[in-house]
Amino acid sequence: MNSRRVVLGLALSSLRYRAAASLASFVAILIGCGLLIACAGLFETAIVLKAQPQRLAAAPIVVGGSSGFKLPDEESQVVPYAERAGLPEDQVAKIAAVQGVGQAVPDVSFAATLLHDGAPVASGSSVLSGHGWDSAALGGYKLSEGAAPGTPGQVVLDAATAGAAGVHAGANVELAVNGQRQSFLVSGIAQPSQDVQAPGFFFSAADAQRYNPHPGSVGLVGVFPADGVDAGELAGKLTDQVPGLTVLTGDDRGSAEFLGVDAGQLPLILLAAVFGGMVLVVMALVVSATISLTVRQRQQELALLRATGATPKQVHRMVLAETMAVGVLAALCGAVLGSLLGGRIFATSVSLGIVPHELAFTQDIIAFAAGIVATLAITYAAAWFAALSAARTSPIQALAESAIPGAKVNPLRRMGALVFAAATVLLAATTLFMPADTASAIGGPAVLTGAIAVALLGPEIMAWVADRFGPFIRRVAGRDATLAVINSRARAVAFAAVLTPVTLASAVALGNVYSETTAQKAQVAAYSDQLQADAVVTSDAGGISPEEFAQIRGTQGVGTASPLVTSSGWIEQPYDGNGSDPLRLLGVAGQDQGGTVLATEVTEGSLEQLRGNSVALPEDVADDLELKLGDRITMRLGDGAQVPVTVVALLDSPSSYASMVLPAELLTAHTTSGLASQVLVRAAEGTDADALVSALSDRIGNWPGTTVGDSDALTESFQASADVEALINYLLAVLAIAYAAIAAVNTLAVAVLARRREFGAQRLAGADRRQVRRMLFVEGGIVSVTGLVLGIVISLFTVLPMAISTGEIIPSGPVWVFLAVVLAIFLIVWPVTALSARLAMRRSPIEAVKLPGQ
Amino acid sequence: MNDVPTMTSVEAPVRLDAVHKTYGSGESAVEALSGVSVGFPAGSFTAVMGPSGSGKSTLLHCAAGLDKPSSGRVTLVGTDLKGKSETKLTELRRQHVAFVFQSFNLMPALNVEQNVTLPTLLAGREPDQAWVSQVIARVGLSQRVKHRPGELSGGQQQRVAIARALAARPQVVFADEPTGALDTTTALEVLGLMRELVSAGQTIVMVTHDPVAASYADNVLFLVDGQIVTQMATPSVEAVAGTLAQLGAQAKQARGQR
Repeated sequence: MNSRRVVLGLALSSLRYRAAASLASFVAILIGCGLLIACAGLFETAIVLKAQPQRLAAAPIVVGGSSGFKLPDEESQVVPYAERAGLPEDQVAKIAAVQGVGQAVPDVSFAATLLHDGAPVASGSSVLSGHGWDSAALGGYKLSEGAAPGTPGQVVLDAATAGAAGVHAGANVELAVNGQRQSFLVSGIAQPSQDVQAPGFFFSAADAQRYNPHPGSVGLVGVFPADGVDAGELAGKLTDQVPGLTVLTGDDRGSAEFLGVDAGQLPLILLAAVFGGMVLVVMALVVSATISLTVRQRQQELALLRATGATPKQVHRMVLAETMAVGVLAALCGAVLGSLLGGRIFATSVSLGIVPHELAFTQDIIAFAAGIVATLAITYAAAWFAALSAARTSPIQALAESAIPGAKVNPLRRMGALVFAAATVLLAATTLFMPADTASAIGGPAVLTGAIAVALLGPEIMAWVADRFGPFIRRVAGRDATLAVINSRARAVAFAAVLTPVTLASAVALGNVYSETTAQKAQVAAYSDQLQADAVVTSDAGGISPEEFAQIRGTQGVGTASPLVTSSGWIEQPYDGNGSDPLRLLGVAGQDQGGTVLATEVTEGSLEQLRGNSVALPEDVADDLELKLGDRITMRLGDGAQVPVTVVALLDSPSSYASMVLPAELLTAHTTSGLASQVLVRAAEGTDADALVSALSDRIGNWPGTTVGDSDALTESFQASADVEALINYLLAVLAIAYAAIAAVNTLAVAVLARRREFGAQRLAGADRRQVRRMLFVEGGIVSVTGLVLGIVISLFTVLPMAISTGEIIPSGPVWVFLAVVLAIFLIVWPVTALSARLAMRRSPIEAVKLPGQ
Repeated sequence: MNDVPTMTSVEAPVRLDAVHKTYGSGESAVEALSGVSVGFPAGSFTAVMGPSGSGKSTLLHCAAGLDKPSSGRVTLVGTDLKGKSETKLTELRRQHVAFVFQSFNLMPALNVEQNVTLPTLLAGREPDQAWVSQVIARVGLSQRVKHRPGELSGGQQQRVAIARALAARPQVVFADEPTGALDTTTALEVLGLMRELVSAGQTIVMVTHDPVAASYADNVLFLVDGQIVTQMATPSVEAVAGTLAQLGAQAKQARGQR
């Protein structure tokens, strides 16, 4: 038998013997591994980006326009467009001409919803449900009743929608098409070849052409290969022969059908990466805290092993082997947990609207392998470092009464703490000079580096707190606190193990939530500050048609009216370098009857000129790119179109979250729906806002899905999408707190239970259970308050720079989050202390003092 | 005291030359050993005695390479310990030295047999099963090989510790108060066992404050304030106790004068 096997055997037998103490590591690794596998699943889902096609399922190949903006300065990165990139009609003929194509079916989509008593049945993205009857072939729709729509004014409904509304062939229905209410004759009902969630309304070819929001181009083309032609090969041929297309087969077709899917990739990758990183750090800290705690407790046993003839290396290897044995077991169990958690987190993200619901959750062997490997790697690294203190055990310690170790950390550890503290400051300082939009990605890790620094320096911090605040604590908590203060000084190492998860939980929760709410407030403010309106008309049923806009404009009391279109895009020539964070584009009427809905001050040029191919740029953007009034630049709009525009005005926009302003007509033509969803209205001279709102309400009274609000309505829809982003952070914070809480429970229970002998001695000396318990409560209070204060300080390193970079200076956000975090910490520490104290004092004191240990 | 075996025998597996050991520094410095030179001859049973704080444990630690002297030289089985790394020292120790402690210091997770074979296994050698069985039989625990320390009495645990010390066939066994935690009858059993081992050729160095334990040794060294003040061959309980009392009184007087 070689000595390595002996060490492993020793590790295993000592594990069996001390199963309870290993439980702490086991639970932490188990849950950490589960969370990591869940993250890996989310990551894989984002990378694979699989969305099963539904409406296009019958077409083996789906061809769309360009899929995304290929960044000029990065070789391979392609950023998906915010809008659907269609393709010109003449491309359809080219596609059909490629050898092997049996049939090429062009498809257009436009806003169409069924009205029930004048109100739309559907809203949101599913309103783009109007298509030509030709498109029915893409989903394998077959008529179950009636006939195809032959003439304008006829429509075929999908069976599910018809069934829900109780409509049959030959009936008349009201539809809002492109925002306008119209009456149609139901010529037939069609059943798709497989389940399609979105409703489908199929119009005659003439109607489809009329309603197409982008005349001259189609949304996508479905290709059926000729008999005997392989879809994959044909797809390759199409890519080669007709340039500038996105040719999709298999599950990839879903990304053409569901617009949000591509855009959901980045948030999902970020969510998975940020959360995965956090779990890794928590796991590393918990594992090393647990190891250092147990190493202290078995100091004598380890020293004995050394005296018996084990080299420092062998002791190190034994502790490492013990931890890894627990780690492997926990990681395997974590795989089961991971498969459950991944689905749960994904489902929650979908229901919160963070990711589109069409996206299929992918978590296969790769995700599991990645999660387990990462778990074992981080466990190994953490155990390796933590076990160093075990290896340093001196053999003479076996002979002496076990002494309580000092609080001084070794120089290597102190150096590490300094490095991580410096990284925290550096990250915070970097965030300070970053544009607010990208600041959060840089600022997040500062919480983690800060927590690591605290973890490394933990024992010295606890000792310092006891020295510095000892008299104060005694004054506040009474005489029983004396022993608690002495303990937190003497047992600084054990207390530091509890301090770490408490600090981490509060820092992560406070840092993430408040930097998000601060950024959000700045973002909403920046958006609403750029616009002004007395009344806002909003449509949920596809948009507001030009005819409707004319009516709004003609309403009594309307001074200035402007459609409002939002999208995002880049300045391509000269390139603005915004990459995956394109600037927001606002489409408004530059000037209407002498007024404007734009609230930002024009520093140069005039909004009067904002017509045709023109743009008004924020001054900062113009300065950065050295652009001046009258320059011609090329913009890349939301649908991928390259549009040459002239700079006609410079705006004094807010420094963060600035928008480029384009004429509404120009931008609208480059959005998916081709319609503005909001109209901003300013009152004419002598009309007050309330009167304007009520006049508009009368006018639009029976327009489907359209509402009138005061100026607050401006931010409502924007706020809603910002709330979704905030939800991600709440979700992360809750999970991080929960995980750190479990870690705190673990280390706390281990630390208290290990002191049975001490409590026994204390009770023999005359203390009753209540006094011991009170002492433990004061100790718990010291750790909680210290951890909270450190957590708050660390979180400030991300929240403050964020506040400063957005120009807000003071962070903003709901106070209840802070109170909830404080409450959560105490609700974790005190009940666990009480419970473990009870367990620790179950034996009679005279039995307890005979127990081995400290 | 003239027919004492030569303490500087060349065959001595352990030798200390002018060993000093100081703990701490500056004002709070304590000199535990101040110039100890001694050799422990092969096959002898030596007891080290002295009042508390006289440096007997430090002497043992330095002699066994568990602690490093501040100055002077320790030679263990012909190897100078000066400048050896912790790993090197451990390897030397497990090759030539074994320990028996006051608190029996068995691995709680291992049974009797596993505890006994542990040092051999740690050294990466295959334990000699016949020898192990023989050693366990010799300490009278053949019926308990699969028991864990927790299931044994104090005397039995100490006998396991002795078996463990012998299993690796060490040149020297160091014992630190081996009977300190045992009742009188059990202590005598353990001492008798150690005496037998020496008769069979084993070298034992034992630190103790018990004159009865010391009376089992061939030779007793008396240590006061870190120096060997006297030694006694073929000691009797009464002679040892007398010398000890005298030394204690002198030490007290000396401290009183200072």
